[in-house]
Amino acid sequence: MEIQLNDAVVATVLQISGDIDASSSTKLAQAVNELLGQGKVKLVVDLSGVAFMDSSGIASLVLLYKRSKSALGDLRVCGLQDGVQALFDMTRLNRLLDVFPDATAAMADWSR
Amino acid sequence: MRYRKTISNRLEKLERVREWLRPRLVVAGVDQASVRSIELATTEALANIMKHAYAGSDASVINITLTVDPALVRVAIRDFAEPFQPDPAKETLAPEPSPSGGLGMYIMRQAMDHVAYEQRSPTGTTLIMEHHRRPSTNAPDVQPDAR
Repeated sequence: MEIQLNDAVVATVLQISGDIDASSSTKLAQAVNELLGQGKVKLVVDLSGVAFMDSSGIASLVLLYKRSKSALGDLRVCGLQDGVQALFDMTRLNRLLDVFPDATAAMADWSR
Repeated sequence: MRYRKTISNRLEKLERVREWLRPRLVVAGVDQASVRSIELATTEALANIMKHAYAGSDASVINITLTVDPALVRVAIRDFAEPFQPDPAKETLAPEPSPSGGLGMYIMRQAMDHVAYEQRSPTGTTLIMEHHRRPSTNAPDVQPDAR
């Protein structure tokens, strides 16, 4: 799994590529924790390059969402492929996290 | 068709197992959604063994048997840890997404049509997961060597 960071005006976008499973989810958690430590608390996790995610990815996203909220920020996700969307539906993660088609849509109301 | 694979107790092997499963399922004409479900359930099962059953254990290998029949796909996962006693309530109730995890067994039950555990002698457990095959409408969308 690879993570590319893109600093936009209103948020930082994490462009993820590759699978997120128990061997790689800690890498996502570390990346977001570093950003939160730098005061970057508005985050968009772009999953359009992720074909596979398991429960460890779900747990990481929930943890990072709660940490960003605690830091008075927010964490949104976008670009879900079919398999990841099915996992979000199965685990009801879409009730907790705001999901958007792409990063531009995810940041739209932040820029107002 | 029946395929067998033995892996070591390392989380890095999870992706390798999916890469092993996928082409065998696709070649057999298993539909795309079912391939994803079988990959997901197998990954969850193996991660559970590695993170929990094998934690602090000397056991180091896991045997996987994939059987693809015209009506059914079966994944049997044999570990050599202390026998596992599942809590059926935990596996069927939908837990809230949590930072501490705990969704693995629920996901396995949701992704597969049948999940059962067999205690083995002298030690270990065989997890058997079955997925009923559905008419394939989009098999060409999945490339065996795409990942």
